Amino acid sequence: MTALAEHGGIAALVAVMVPLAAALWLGIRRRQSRHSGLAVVLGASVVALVLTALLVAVVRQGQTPTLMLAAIVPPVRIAFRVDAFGALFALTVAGLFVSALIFAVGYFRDDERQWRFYAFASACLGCMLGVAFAANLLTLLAFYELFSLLSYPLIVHDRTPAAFAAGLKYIAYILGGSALILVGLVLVYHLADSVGFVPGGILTESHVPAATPRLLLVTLACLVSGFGVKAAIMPLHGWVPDAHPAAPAPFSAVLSGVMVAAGAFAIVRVLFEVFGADLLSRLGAMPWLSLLAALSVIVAAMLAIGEQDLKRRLAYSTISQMAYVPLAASVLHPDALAGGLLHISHHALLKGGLFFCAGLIAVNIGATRIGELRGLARLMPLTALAMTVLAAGLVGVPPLSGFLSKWLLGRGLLAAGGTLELAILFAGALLAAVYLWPLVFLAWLPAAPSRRALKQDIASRWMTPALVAVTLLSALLGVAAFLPGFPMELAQLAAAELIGVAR
Amino acid sequence: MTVWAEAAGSWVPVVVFWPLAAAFLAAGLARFSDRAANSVIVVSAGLTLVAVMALGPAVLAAGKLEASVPALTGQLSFMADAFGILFALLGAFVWFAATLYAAAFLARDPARLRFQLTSLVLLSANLGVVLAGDLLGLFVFFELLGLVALVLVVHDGTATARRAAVKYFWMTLVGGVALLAGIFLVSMIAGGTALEPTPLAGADPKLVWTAFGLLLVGFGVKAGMVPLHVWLPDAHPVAPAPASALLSGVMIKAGAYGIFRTLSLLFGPGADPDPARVAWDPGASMGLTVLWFGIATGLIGVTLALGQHQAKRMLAWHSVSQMGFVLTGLGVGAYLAAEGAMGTAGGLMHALNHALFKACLFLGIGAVALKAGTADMDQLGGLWRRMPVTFALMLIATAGIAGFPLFNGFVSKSMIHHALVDAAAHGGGAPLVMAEWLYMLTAAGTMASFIKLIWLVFLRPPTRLWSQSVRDPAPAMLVAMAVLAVPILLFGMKPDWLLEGLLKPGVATGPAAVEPVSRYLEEYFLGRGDLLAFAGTMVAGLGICTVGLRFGLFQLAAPGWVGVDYWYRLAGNGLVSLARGWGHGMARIRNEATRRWGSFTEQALGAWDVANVRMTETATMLLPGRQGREGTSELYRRLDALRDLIVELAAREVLERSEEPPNQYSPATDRLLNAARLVAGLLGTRLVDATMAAASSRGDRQWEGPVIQVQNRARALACSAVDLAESWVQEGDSTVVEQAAADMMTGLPSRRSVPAGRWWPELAELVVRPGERHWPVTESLDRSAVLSALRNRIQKIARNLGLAIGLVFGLLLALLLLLMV
Repeated sequence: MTALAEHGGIAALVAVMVPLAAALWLGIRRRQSRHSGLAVVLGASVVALVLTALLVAVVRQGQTPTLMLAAIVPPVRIAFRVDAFGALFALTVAGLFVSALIFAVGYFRDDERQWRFYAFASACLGCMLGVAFAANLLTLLAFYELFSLLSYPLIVHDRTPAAFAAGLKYIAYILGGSALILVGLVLVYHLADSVGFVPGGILTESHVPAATPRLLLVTLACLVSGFGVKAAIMPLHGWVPDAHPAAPAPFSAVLSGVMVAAGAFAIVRVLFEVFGADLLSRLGAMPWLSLLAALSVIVAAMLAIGEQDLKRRLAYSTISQMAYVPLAASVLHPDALAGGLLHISHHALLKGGLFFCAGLIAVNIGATRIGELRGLARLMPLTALAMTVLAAGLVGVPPLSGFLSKWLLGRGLLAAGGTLELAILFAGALLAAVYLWPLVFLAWLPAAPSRRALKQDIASRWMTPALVAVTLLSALLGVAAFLPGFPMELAQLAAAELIGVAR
Repeated sequence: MTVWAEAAGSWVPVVVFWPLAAAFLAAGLARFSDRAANSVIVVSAGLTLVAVMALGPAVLAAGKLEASVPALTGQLSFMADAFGILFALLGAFVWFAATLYAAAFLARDPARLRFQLTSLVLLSANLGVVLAGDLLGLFVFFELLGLVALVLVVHDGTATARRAAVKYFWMTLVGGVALLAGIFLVSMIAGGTALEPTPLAGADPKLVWTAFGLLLVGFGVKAGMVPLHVWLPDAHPVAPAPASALLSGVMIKAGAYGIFRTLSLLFGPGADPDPARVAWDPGASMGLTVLWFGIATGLIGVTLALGQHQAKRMLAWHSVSQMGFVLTGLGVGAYLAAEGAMGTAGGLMHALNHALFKACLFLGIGAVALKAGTADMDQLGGLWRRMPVTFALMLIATAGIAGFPLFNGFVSKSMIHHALVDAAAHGGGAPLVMAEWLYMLTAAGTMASFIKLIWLVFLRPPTRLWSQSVRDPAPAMLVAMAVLAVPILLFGMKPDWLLEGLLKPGVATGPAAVEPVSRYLEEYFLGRGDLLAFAGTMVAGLGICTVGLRFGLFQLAAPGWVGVDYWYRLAGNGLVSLARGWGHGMARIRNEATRRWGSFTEQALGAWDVANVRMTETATMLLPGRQGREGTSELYRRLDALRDLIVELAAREVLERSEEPPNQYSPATDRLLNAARLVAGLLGTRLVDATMAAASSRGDRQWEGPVIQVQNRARALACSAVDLAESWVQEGDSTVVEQAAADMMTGLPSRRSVPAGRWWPELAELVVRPGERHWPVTESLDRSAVLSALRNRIQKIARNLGLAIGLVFGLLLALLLLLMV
């Protein structure tokens, strides 16, 4: 363990590189060998998961491994740093990717072009881990861009007109956001002569003698809105409800579970390790972020209620749920932030699982609309049961994981004096019940008499275990959240690191 | 002694989780042997009862047992004191009886195992609620209890059961949210979630009252407190009889337990009331609030119970009413604070008593329904000859609930009555004298209602000839009922066993004096005053019953809008339709914005002639006539109506071709009808969309021509839709439809007027434009539903929208105000 602690940076590098190498290998070999390709990608993702878990153990001992990879000119440095926040996010990413890849094996069973999916997904995994371990804004931006662009082939995988349209929309949004981030990055370097992440922020009094609040606000706005495109903060959410139904189900799960969260992750990094809680509270911009997040929670949930397409409804739900993270960050209180960070990983599993359900349903009975779920439990009892549990978790029924993150978040908001934010949290939970209840209720109704029989019973051998694993894990994360190395401990550690130093 | 207490304390979590473990065990066993699983279930319910009974002496010896297990955010703590044990005892007792009964009652039910396993899980949750040591644990178990019970409510799977379950779910969920919010506020005031007196010194009174209100709502939903009771009379009767017994007998007591803890512990006077520390004491006014809610609950419950003819529904309304008694007792106990032991003990004892007799009554009526085939009192009669043992046991339970002397209900009811008299004397004044009269009226109503039940079901001359199969049910069911009936008699004759044995030691651990309880036992129990009061109630009850039956007063029913249920439903539906309408409206607005943006790009591209036309149009905009935005929405309305017309014409065409009488057509025609509606809807939507785009690109005011064109084509389009639908149904190939839709589009002007090769306007349009599929939301090709029905439904809901918006905003505003102050 001590050896690992010393070479933790190397471990992070390996965790990033192994999936990228697997993707490269698969890209060269193409479709020649389906089984070996599959084994390599799955193996690479499991290696990444194991390494991340080891890094979590290192981080828990209070260490922060770092690695300087390349220093070209002063601001252009590619460096890794593994802190609690990064380790938590990396663990979530790797965990969800592994289950999504297992799910994909069943989902694409008869797809000739499945190697493309594995290759790009594996590359995405590597780049997202890079985002999690990035030690400065530049590294983060580089990996962020990479995985954003690598997602495009995954979204348009089905090659339907709708998929291409959605993919184009996605790219247009993301590029717009990236331009803003780049401007923000330049401004940060101009102001602070550095782009590294430091707990407590690099933009402090000593760094910015001549900085006017206006310039700081512009920088903040550029970075937050740039990453906000990915985090789907309304009104920058336009790509989300189109991209999700177009993408294949395993990728929808990843997209909702961790990619949207990557935006939120980057926003939290920027807020607390570039600006710092002290500066933010003096700038007075947080109420606006809070307002935007609150609007996203409510409006997206309302739109989800009006949506009849299953995946679109889940996509709107993601917008609504992920807005809790900026909401939690905006009160600048460690307890609330811990709740928000915990919500990232709990939501990833819950929403990923719900998209797995959508995929299973689409493959097995060809249903994509809410109304067609009627009588699902007769045909696919296990899927219906998992969907019920996951939906309950997302609403926040105790003792599932969704409840726990909302409990911590709510107590944190109260501790920070945010009663209004707490009301938003409750309203969001109630609306979540409104848009998820029809799924569960229809699934358990007796089937309509003219119900067609189960179309195919294929592929469930791979898909169902992934779904069951995610569901059980969601329950476990709630019931036994106190266990060491589980997200709750990491989130509290991370929040203490991010805010605690400044105070 | 402490060693023993610690050892016993560590058993508390075991007792709580044991039924859960047994459920898993039985589920595993069921794969091999159904009988073995069933015996495991019954035996483990019995073992739970024994274990809870064994905990009793340890609790009495130690005063309070504490233990914790690692779970959730850290430690999940458990706490057992005399009151917790009282509720655990009544739960385990009724559960054992109901499980025993269910084993025989559901013998032929294919879903019996699901029922029994759910029931065991619920037993765990119920014990968890009453033995939880902090608010987090209490909430977790409370929510589990509420939501898992849904499985029992929908057990029969009928449409009525589903409707009841939907209502139950929403009420439980809203109650859960209120409870959680209340717990958050309490933890903010107290700084933790421990189940102990909240330090109120320096706390904002408004905050304290908000917290109390939220807790009261959260627990009140479960307890069936008026006006949050609406789910109860629907959900309890639709469940199978043993589940009704559990729901009415035990699970609603979880709500009463919560209110008891709120009043006596969270906002109670505290273990060592120090006047300097507590600047103001809200306990008394909180008690008064609960008291009046209790009186209202009792009176409204009994009034509606009198109007029922379904026996199970009547019993469910009596559960509401009896919870009113319990709440009154708890409220008056909190109002009298240190002197209130009699009210509190009365309320708690009534909770136990009600569990016993209500469970017994539900089981008895279940047996009647099982054998006679109905639980409708108007159709039953003369069953005392047929089912003598059931009759005898029912009679005992009825005597209990009606409060006959020497039966248990008499004791608790008169204790609460004496406490009310005390409260009126201790500064309550005239309002509490009125409360006392209303209380007596409720008791008289209960008497009337149960005289009616016994008369109609058992005693009156038979309405029909009962077959030989109508006789006493299986022995297991009778034993279960007898198990419940024995303590009814026992506590009626020897109330001191319970009062001296469990409640007085429990009260003694708190700040209140135990003297009133002893005073009741020594002075009032079976005293002259109580017997006279009983005689008065009896006479009044007989009077109400006779008059009601004679003049058919029990058949009257109030219109729907009188009940709160109607308004809840309106608000809920309004919220959903508001959200739907919002989504729909936003899609339309975006669509229109896109169109405008499109013309912008044209201008920006420098297409001078187009711009010229635009400028001329802009100049002529000043002329009178339909213009601009209103013109476009008017166009939309016209085209939308046309689309409906096409669908309608297609449907008519199908019926004409089939030559079958309307409303009696064959399944094949029905299928064709649906298909034709879908195809016509699809074609119509495409046509409307294209016309809309074409008309708007020509300028907003020149659309009359295209509309008339569509109007002329409507019938032809409907006919071709029917042709297409026929080939679709016969060949099962939907590409025909897609092809036809594509063909139709070729003749129409294209919507995209941006010159090819320019990439950026396309990109801009792409970013702003929503996916084709959202517009219009209801018109997309829905494979499962009939469009017109859906649209009618939405329109109907939309009519309520104005009111709903008002209600929703009012509610939000109220919530905001509550949280801001």
